[in-house]
Order: sequence, then C-alpha cells, then structure tokens
Amino acid sequence: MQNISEILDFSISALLFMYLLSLIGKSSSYSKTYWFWGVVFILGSKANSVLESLIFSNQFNVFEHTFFLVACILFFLSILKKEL
Amino acid sequence: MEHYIVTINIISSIVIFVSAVIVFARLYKDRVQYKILFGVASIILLAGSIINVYEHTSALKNAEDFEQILSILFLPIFIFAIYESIIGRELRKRIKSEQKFKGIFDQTFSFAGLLDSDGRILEANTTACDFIGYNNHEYKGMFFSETKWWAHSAQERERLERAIEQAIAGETVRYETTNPDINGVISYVDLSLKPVHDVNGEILYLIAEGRDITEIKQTRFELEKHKKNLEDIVDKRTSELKTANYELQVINEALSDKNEIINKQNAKLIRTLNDLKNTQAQLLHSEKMASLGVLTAGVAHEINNPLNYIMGAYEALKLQGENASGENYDILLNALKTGVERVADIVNSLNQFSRNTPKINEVCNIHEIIDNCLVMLQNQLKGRIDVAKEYSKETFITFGNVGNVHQVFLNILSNAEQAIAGNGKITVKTFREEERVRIEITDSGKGIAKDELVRITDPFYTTKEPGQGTGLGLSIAYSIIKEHGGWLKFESELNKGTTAIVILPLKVNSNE
Repeated sequence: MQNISEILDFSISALLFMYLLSLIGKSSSYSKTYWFWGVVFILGSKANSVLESLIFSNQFNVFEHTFFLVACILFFLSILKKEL
Repeated sequence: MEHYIVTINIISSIVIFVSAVIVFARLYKDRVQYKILFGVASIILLAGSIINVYEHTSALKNAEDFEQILSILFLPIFIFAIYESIIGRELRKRIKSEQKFKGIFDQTFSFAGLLDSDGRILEANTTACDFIGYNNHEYKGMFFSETKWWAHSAQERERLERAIEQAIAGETVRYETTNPDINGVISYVDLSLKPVHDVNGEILYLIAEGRDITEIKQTRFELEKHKKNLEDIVDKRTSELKTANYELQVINEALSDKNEIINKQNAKLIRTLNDLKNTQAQLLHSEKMASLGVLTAGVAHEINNPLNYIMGAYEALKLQGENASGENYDILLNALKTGVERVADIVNSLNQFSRNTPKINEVCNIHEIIDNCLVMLQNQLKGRIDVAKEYSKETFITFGNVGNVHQVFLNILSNAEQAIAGNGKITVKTFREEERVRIEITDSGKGIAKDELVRITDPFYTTKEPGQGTGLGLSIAYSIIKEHGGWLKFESELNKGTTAIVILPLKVNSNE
C-alpha cells in the first residue's frame, strides 16, 4: 500500500511537471533556472523514496534526503534571485 | 545513518524556513496570487521537513503517513505557483504593451481607426471620436461609411465606399476628402485605407488613417491667391515695360536722328579744326617770316661787314698781283677765309631758323640754338647791349623741332632786346634741374607790369605800336614749349627788367 501511494505520488508529480514544461515550453529557457533543477531534485528524491520502498535499501533513503536538501538549497537560491 | 538523515533534514528545514520568510516578506509588499501559492508551498515543505526530523528521532511513530500527504500536496501547489508566475508575467507584459499602444493610438494627432474586412468599424482613436463627438464606442459595429464622419455628403460617402472596396481587394488607397467636426465645420482630411493581412494573405483588418490638412489647404489657397496676384502684377509690369520699351524706341529713333545731325556737325567741326590747324601753321610760318623780315636788314648789314673784309682783301691781292708773297699774302688770304666763314655762319643761322619741317624728333642742342639766335640778332645788339652767356658746362640736348625751338628763343631774345631802350644787358643762363634744362634769359629793360605779365602769352596781345608787332610771338613760343613737354614763364619788375624762364625735358645728355 505504501509503495503504491509513493509510486502514484511520483508519477503524478512527474506528469504535472512535464505538463508545466509543455505549457511554458518554448517561451523561456527554463533549463538555466534554479527552480527547474530544484523540481528535478525533488522528483529525484521521490524516485529514491520509491526505490527505497521497493528494494528496502537504506542507501536510497540517504539519497532521498540528500536530494531533498539539494532541492531546498536550489529553491532558496531561486527565491533569492527572484526567478519567480 | 539515522544521525546523517536527521542532520540533513535539520539543514533542509532551516533553508526552507529562510526561504519561507523571504517569500512572506515579499508577499507583504505585493499580494499576488502566485506569491501566496509559493508561501503555502514553502509551509508545506517546511512542515514535511520538520516531520521528517521527528520521524527519524522516533518522537512520532505515525508521522510518515502525514509526511506522505504533505509531500503529495507540495509539488502540485509549487508547480501551479510556477505556472502562475511565468504566465502572469507574460500577461502583465502584454497588458502593459497594449496600454502603451492604446495610448499612442488614442493620443496621436491623426485620426485612426480599425475596420473589419467588411468595412465595419471596430475601433476609433480618441482624436477621431472627439472630432465628431462619439462617446463610449457608440460607433462600434457600424459600417464606416454610415458613421457621422460621412453624414455631411453623400458624394464623399460613395467615394469612401469605393475606397473601402479597393482596400478589401488588397490595395492601399489614399485621397483627400472632407469631414465635419462636432460643430459641423468642414475640415479637409488626407485619408488613407490600408489592408492588414494574416500569414495566409487573408485580409484581417483595414487601417483607416486621416490627417487634418485644413491649415495646409488654406495655406495652399493663400499661396494660389498670392501667385495669381503676382502673375497679375507681372502681367501689368510686363505691359508697362512694353509701353516703356516702345517709348524708348521712339526716343531712340529721335536720338538717332539727332546723333546723325551731331555727326554731321562733328565732321564739320573736324574740317573747321583742320582748317584752323592749317591756318595756325600758316600763321606760325607767317610770324616766322615776319620775324625774318625784321631781322633781314640787320642780317644784311651783318653779311655786309665780312663782305667788306672779302672785298678789301680781294682789292689788295689784285694790286699786288703776281708779286704778292710772304707774310702779307697769308694775312690777306686769312682775311678772305674769315669773311667767308662769317657769312657762312650767318647763312647757317638763318637757314636753321627758317626751316619748316613737321618733324618733332630732331636733336636740339640748346646752346647752339641760342648762339644761332644771337648771331641773327647781332646787328640789333651790337654796340648797345652786352650779352652775357652763363652756360652750364654740360651740353643740353632735347628732342623736338629745331626750327620751332629757334623761333622760341629768337622771339624771347628779340623781345628782350626791344625791351631795352638804350644801353643794357642780356644775360643767358642755363643749368640742369633734375631731368630738365632751365634757361633763364634776363634783360635789364623797362620791365612789365603785373597785370600785363599774365597776358603776354595771350594771342594778339602786344604793347607795341600798331604795325610793329603781331602780338603772336610769345603766344606761339608758349604753345611750342608746351608741345615740347616744357613750360614757359616770366618774372618781371618794372624798370628793373624781365626774366623769361624756359624749362624743357632733357632726352639725351651727350656728356653721359
């Protein structure tokens, strides 16, 4: 049950993110922004969480939290630079 | 491992907390929807992070479910906030741009409007609406030709309809028309209709643009008026000039006739002048001859003396016959030679005086000429008047007519001689004055009064008894000196004497 909810969370988040990119698509070069990489790391964190629940490895838990920290720092920089 | 995860989550919580503070601080300044969403997302993230810390420190055993819910909530909210931020920014830019162009569209001095492809008016700028008095888009959806701008003239309306048809066909149309203003005053407008195409070349809109050219038109009318006035003035002036020209031609013809008369009179005058010149030349010669006549007696007497010499010598030689010899014979021959030479000198002097040539570039030796004149006057001077020659050592040469120069000095010397009643003295002095020679002939005669002195060179002026002089001598002398580029003047004192001063330009100095 726990696995399914995490997989759904990751899937919905990834789809939403891709939909956002398709909306803003060509109008801006988002790959150079902090917020883009922040979201990518959050998704990475979620992916690690899924892997952790599937493989039961503590290693993925460490990755999950490390990715989360990097994402937090990138969001902070994005806010500081007034990207959004 | 747990310890590491807790540390990471604590750092994450701190970073998110700081970020959330910044977001809420900005939200306080500017309450925009997407910023609120960012704030909510930050709180969710912060909460998730804090729960993570609790979870790993086993304070809350069921925290993982709650963290899961927050994690699911965070990303959609955050993504929606990003979307709002980016799209909202674009939207605000577009609104700003539209406001800017709307401002330009409304505030321009030209009339501007937008028509659809059927000729219905969609938009008109404030300048155009204020001009006719439309408010609150009341024109919207009307055919452009049926609006108040064209209510004044059916003809202009029809013209506009034709222009719209042309513009719909893809042409840009421009022409001058008229529009009434809010008070019904007609203004001239330069109207243009231009089609706007889409990417496929279909006509989307027509841009109608008009410029009020009433002032330009009025100025043009004024200019036309002035031009007409100017042309009238030019025509008038041309006509006046033609009249004046005709009058001038008439006057010119009259002048031409008069000119002909003047030319005839001029020719007559020239003939008269030539006659006068001839007469003057004859007079000059006559005067010379008259002087010669006066001198003839004296000259004859002068010649008689050497002839007596010659005759005496001849008689003596005849008496001695073949016995003539020695010293006596030489003396008689010398007497004969001296007599002949003396006669030759006198004849030469007379010859110089009486020559009558028109040449003006003969070499005139001043001292020789004065000496010749003195020879001719020898008889009149002899025994009564002493002649003192104070000649310069320099030889003075001038170019001119030798006979005429002789006549000048003979006249002056003759006058000097006649001015001395009894015994007296004539002094002849010559010296150089720069490039001229100055000859002063001073007599010790009775002198001339001042009022007479200024008239003595006048023609026919004489103080002599009738029959004794023509009154032309000094007048002719004066004109000859003038012809030779010099001048003649007299200084005199009553009962003391007179000095005649002749100044002539030197042409060649033989000593140089």
